Amino acid sequence: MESWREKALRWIFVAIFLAVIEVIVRLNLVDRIFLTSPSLIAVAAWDELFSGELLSLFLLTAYEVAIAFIVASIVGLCAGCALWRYSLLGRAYDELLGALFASPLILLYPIFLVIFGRGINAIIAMGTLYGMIPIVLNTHQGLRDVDQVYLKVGKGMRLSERQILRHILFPAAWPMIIGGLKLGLTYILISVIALEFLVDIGGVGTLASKGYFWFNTELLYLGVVGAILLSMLFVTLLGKASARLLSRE
Amino acid sequence: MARGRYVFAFSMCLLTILGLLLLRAPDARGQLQTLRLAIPQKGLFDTTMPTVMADKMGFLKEEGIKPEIFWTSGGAETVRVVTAGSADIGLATGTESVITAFVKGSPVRIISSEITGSPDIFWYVRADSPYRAIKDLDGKSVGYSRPGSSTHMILQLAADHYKIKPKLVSVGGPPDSFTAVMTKQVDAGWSIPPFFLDKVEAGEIRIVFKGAELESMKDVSLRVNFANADFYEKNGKLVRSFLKALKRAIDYVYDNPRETTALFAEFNKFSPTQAEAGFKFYPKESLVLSPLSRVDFAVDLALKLKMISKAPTKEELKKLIVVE
Amino acid sequence: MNSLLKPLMVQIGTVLGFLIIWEIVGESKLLFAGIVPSVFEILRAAWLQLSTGSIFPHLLVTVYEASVGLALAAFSGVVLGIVLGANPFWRKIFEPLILYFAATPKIILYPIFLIILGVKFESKIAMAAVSGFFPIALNTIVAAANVNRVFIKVAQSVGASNFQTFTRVYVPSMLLPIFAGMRLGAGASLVGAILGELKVSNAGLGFIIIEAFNHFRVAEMYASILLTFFLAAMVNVVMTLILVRMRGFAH
Repeated sequence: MESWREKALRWIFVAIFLAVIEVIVRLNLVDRIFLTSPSLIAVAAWDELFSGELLSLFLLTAYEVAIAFIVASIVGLCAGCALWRYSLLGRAYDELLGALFASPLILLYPIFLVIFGRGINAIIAMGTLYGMIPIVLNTHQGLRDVDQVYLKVGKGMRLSERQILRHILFPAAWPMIIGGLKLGLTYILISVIALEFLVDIGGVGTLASKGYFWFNTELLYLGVVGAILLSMLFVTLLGKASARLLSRE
Repeated sequence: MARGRYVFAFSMCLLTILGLLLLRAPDARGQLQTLRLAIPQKGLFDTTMPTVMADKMGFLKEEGIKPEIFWTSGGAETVRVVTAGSADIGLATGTESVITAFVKGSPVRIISSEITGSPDIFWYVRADSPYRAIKDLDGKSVGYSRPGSSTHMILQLAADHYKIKPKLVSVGGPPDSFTAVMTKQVDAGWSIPPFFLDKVEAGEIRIVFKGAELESMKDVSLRVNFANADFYEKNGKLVRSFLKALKRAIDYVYDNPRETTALFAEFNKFSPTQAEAGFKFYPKESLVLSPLSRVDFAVDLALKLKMISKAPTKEELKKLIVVE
Repeated sequence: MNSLLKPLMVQIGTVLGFLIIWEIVGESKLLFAGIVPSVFEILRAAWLQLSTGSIFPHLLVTVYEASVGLALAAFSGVVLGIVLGANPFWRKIFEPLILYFAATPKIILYPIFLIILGVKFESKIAMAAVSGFFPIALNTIVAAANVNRVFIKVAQSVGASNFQTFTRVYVPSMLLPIFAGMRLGAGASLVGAILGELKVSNAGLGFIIIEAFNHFRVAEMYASILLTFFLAAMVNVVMTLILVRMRGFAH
């Protein structure tokens, strides 16, 4: 557990960093085209928030991430269980999926655009693919890692396979599964924002794109900072949520 | 004594020859100055052909220019490339984009009009659909590229003019539009020559509306050629020479249609029939470099899209626009 | 032998099955034909790109950008990693910040690079560097922090200088995890460079993919993507081989 002192120092560092940028910009040491001050970015953020634009962009991104996560989780969990149940499949697909995950999946996005059309569905599809793989892999691994003893106990109690899975194995594999869900969600968020930027359809990722092309430096940095903050928020929330879920066991 | 005369004559010859050589030397050493051009949408007739023809026919060389082209994928990107100093001149960019850059403090100067009116954009439907003209699209879904684009504008103006209420859908570029139409996501899609004219030729799709049919945009300079302001300050003469070469090329393009069609087809690697069909979309009047008309239209557009928050003043516009 | 063969058969079977389904979908009228070109068409397009050599100048550009980016990422990542790894106090303050940034899509920084560095190679090199930095830095932090304290104490007790302690104790112990981080970083740098080439560029593998997409040359697009994947796989294989060799060497 980190002390409040470390936390405080970290945020002091960030604050100093922002202050330095503010000063640099205010003193006109850099061309306004390159950099803008945090206070101006905050003003732009307030305007966007007020006009409801920021909210609608944020909701769109959240929607895409949510759908992708739901589909990825359902498919991923089922597939993970299947891989555990049928060990041959498990051995074969572990390698395959691992290799797939290590490859530049994001570069497949033009294919998704072509197949799903240039819309939200392509982004959701890509996100689903990205999220599915760690969920499958971790679920499989989690179930596999469960001590054989538990299985024996279950069989000894004459429980059906379904019951063993539900009441013994899942809870035991829970930490790994949660880890997989966390990883999947993180990758979904990353790929969704990245695609929004690349494809320029809608959502938080388009702020940076619009800002760049329309010479609106405040909007550009708002988009960048917004994406970073969103990721930060996610990482923190996921950490807290998984800690909670794990401690319940 | 005789020897002295020979020496004198010999030295005079030598001097004369040297003199001639020295006089000729700057000419022989006359080097071409590299001009970096940022051109969007490689292959499009109006963006590409004038420059390519000017290069091919040596018009640029005659003006002492060696072109170095950076192809971009769109107007806004082109502005960024020029303002970043990676190119000296940008072609075929939406007037509102250049005005926005200027208002935001970026170093640009508009040096000429690029296209006036919107003769190039057309809308089509699947061959098996029942629609024949734009009036049939009332209540149907029609695609445009993205909010604020010229395709969006033309559709809105057309809807007003023909008193129809189509459902406007943002579909992206010509390939995305084509996919959307063929997969029945929209009833009508847009394109611009040379894209998908082969599909028209093959009978897979049918044109139902051309941007040229819209009167209200005929006198608006929708796209302009512009230069990096610092470059323009230092090399005004070179820029004007470039425009001279461009004008010569445009004249040549229309005086020699067969050659133009062949070059157009070769550059895009498609059939001469498609090239000819695409060429037909562009009347010479729309490609004139001057005058620059209806700047107010572009300013209104930039305001409407919230690219700028207030219109540039007359003085500012005078500084920006250096069209002759 | 049988147990090794069976998974392989399943893998091959899956790939073949996927290709067969692809062909069927492409032939049927389910999706519009242009979207799902025949596998043979794609392979033909790939062959064309290789045999005419049209892909090589772009391949070279991407490799160049990724390599320079990786070098920058490696240098900064290792230096920062060692500093933070060896200093638990600073590590606790700054490592979470690095983790936050690691979870952000680096492509969002691309417009800033475009503005500051221009539209040519430099902005793509920056993308590659930023992408490769995080795996390397994070791995190095862990590596530096996990150097066996006992060894350090032993070295100091026999009077080794700081420099000697660094080269004789730290470096050998950190070599493997740092290189493991480099392997991840290499892949990340490659992808970073290609992502930069997808927008505002005139060269590179990403550029030819988007060009094919913009001109609706679908088979060509698939082929270019395929070849890019192949490159990424090769880089990964090479790095893994080196890593395995190093593991053997270390023991």
